[in-house]
Parts: sequence; structure tokens; C-alpha cells
Amino acid sequence: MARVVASSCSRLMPFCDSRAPFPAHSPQFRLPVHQVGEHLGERDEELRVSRHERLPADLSGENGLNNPKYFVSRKLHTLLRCLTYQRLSNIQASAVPFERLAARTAPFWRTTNAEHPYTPLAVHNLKPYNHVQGTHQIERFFRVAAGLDVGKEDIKRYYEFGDPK
Amino acid sequence: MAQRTARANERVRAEVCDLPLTKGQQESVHAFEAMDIDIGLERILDKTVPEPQIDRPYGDETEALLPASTDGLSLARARTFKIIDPETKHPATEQWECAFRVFDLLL
Repeated sequence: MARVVASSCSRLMPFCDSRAPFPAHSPQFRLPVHQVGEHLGERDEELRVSRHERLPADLSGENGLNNPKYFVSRKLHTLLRCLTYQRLSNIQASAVPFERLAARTAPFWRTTNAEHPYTPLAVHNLKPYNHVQGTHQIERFFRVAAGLDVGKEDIKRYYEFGDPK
Repeated sequence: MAQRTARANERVRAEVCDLPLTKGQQESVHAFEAMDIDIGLERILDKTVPEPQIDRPYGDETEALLPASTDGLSLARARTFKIIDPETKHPATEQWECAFRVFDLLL
């Protein structure tokens, strides 16, 4: 499991769910955020384990959870909100990158049941979301460069091809 | 490749001369820069350039050149479609695969 570091609590304060804030002394709030790169393997392990967590009976149906794929602890959920799919190993210890990361990733982690902070949270997608940016610019670029009209699928292919290269 | 070249030349950091940039790619970079003035794609591509897994750090100049090399590749990729089929307007899946194969051979 990831190492618990108490000193990192304050850095994550702005990114907690304001509707159900965690007390600072809560052990679930202590995250190894300042050594994300070093603990990447441990985090992967943590993610893997979380996929096998079972759906609690009291969260099925009546709380508005429409068949979420995964349930994770709030600790892991907070971790997920701070993850970025691309530059995970390069996250530095300052609050600014985390602010950006949280702003970028938060919309894609759908959570429910915020009134009960200690119950597992529903997450619809644990896979990193490859956010496509600059659709208009890419369309225009292809038009100017080669007289091509590209669609959404083409832009997706463009990114898929460009990333590894 | 830059890492390997830097290691072979016993450099502590990967410098610009270690990057495997061909003449054609450099020309693509310049063409992209000239074209991108009013499109603004460069700042978007800069964000998407993945951090390479490295064992030697990049020099400042090298690091600044990495996004530009990606930009040059983008232009080359766009022009590849016209070489594959000069009449094409909407690249089909087969043409994308052709372009992939061409780049896989060259890069």
C-alpha cells in the first residue's frame, strides 16, 4: 500500500468535496501526494485492488447510482481526482500542479452519495480519459496544410498516432 | 534515440545534436511554424507531448525543441494523405492505416 504521509494533507484541502469535507485528522485524508512518482507502482496496486471491491447493498439503486462500474474508497477517489493520465510520473510537490490536475480530471470522475463520506463512492470509469483538445485548430490545420476535412474520429486517430511517436 | 546517442557520446545530458531530426523533418518544423501563426495549434500540441521515459535529462535547448519536432511530424502526417491519394478530401480508415505504416517505417 502507499505510504501515508501526514504532512501532505494541506495540499489536498482545496480538492476535497466541499459537500462532505474530511476532517484533517482523518486517516483517510492522508495521501502520499508529494511522492506520486515514486509510489506509482503502489498506486497501481491500489487501483487494481479497488476494482474488486464489491457493491454495497445499501448503495444499489435507491441512491441514484445507475449501475456504476466501480466503488472506491474516498481516499482512492481523492487520489483519482488528482491523477492525470499522461504526466503521472512527473507531478511535483507543489499545490499548483495538483490544482490544475484536479481541475482537469474532476469532471470525469462522477461521484455520488456525498452525504456519507465514509461509504464507498461510485466511479464510472477508472481508465484515464484521453481528453481531446483543440478540435477546431486541428480541423483548420488539416484544411490549410493539405486541404483535408477531418472529423472527430480522425482527430482521435491523430492523437492516438501522435502520442507514442 | 537521443538518449542512446547521448550515452554513446558520453554526454551527461541529451543535446540538440543527439536528436534524430532529419532534414525533411526540420523543414516540416519550419513550414509548420510559418503556417501556424494564425491557427494556434502549437500551444495545444505542446500540452499533449508526452514526457519521455528518460535515463538522462534533456538540455534546455533540446527540451524546447521536442514540441517543435512533434509539430513538424503533424505537418508531415497531414501531407502524407495527399501523397497517398491526391484526390482525397476526407481521409478514410485505410488511408490512416497507410499513413501509420509509412510513419512506422520511418520513425
